[in-house]
Amino acid sequence: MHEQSLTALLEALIFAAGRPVAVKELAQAADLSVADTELALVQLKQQINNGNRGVLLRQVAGGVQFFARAEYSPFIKRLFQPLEKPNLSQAALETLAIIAYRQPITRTEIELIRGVRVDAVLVTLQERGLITEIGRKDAPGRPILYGTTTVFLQSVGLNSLQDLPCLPSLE
Amino acid sequence: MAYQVRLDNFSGPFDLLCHLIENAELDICAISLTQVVDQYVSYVTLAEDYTDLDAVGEFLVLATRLLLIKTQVLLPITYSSEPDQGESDDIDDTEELVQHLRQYRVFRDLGRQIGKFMEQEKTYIPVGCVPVEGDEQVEVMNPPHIKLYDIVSAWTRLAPLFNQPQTVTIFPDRPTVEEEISALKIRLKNQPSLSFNHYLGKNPTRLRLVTVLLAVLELWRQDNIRVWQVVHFGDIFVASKEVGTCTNNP
Repeated sequence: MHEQSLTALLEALIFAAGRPVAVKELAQAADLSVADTELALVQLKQQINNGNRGVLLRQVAGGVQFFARAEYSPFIKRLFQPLEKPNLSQAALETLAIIAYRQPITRTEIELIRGVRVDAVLVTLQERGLITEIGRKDAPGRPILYGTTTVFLQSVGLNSLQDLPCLPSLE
Repeated sequence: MAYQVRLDNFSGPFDLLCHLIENAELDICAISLTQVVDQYVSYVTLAEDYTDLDAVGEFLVLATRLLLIKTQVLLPITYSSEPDQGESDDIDDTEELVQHLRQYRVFRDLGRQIGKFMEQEKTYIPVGCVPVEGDEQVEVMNPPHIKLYDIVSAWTRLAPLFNQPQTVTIFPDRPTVEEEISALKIRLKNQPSLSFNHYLGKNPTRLRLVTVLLAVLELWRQDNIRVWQVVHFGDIFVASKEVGTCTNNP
């Protein structure tokens, strides 16, 4: 396949998916090697992100996805109101941060750090799909272990947990 | 402090403590802790009208820990048999709290940063983004326009419901067996004999029936009256003994 049509194929795949698509998935769908796909993807990103265009290819939650450029969102909001979740409370954000950096973690361990009960907050975060139960701790009572989800990475716009800001060291 | 303190503005006791230390432009260290103990305690006691112990419980736990630390600072000499060990325990306790507070602050700040990321991410609208529709529009509705007058008039309509006089069931005085006995005696003075059913009247209550029957039995036991029946399960006739014979007497 031509280089030109290769990038066009990837563009079509990513556009149609409407969600972050991993390189592996793209390679499989396009019947290409991962290395070739990655190469074509770099080209596609250059074409789209450096061109004078209204859309943007972003690396989010382990995949690539098309977005409208941020500067146009006020105009888009005149066209239709995108479904926005209300902002999280400080308590919820603190809990989310603890889970993001310390996962897998139990409820009791979170409560130890925050000094307050977090059961209600955990329910909220779970309802929002930001965290999920990822197993049970091998400890008395086999408490639930929590971890963050793909939705979390999407909602903070990060590609992976490694992209979270560094945890400052505690002397 | 001019502004009103509300504990629920803080996400937890450590949040409040961090806020106090930062407000005083202090570092998180043992000395800072002792400087803000009084402030912390006064904040928590300001909220003492909280009826929900769950809401203040965790704040109170930290308040006691802080007070303990302050006492230990004010009374540095420990009178335990092993003074050295006692002292190091105190230091551990304070150091532990300081360490804890530092750790907490890290996550509090990271939480804020995550919040900022989320805010930022909202400006990127992805392909296939779900628009608000139908019922979900309800979420962004403004609160209904309610004036103070509306609330007051609603209350005046509802208020009587809350002070309704309690209904009280009043029972007529129930004569006791003793009272029935004396009533029967008076009756029998004027009347040679009487029918039990007639005496009770129409539809007597079960209670009156039992009381009168007990009165009759008691008078009979005391040998003051004569009691007889014309037929089995028939009416009971009662006559005073002093009055003498009765025609119905078999």
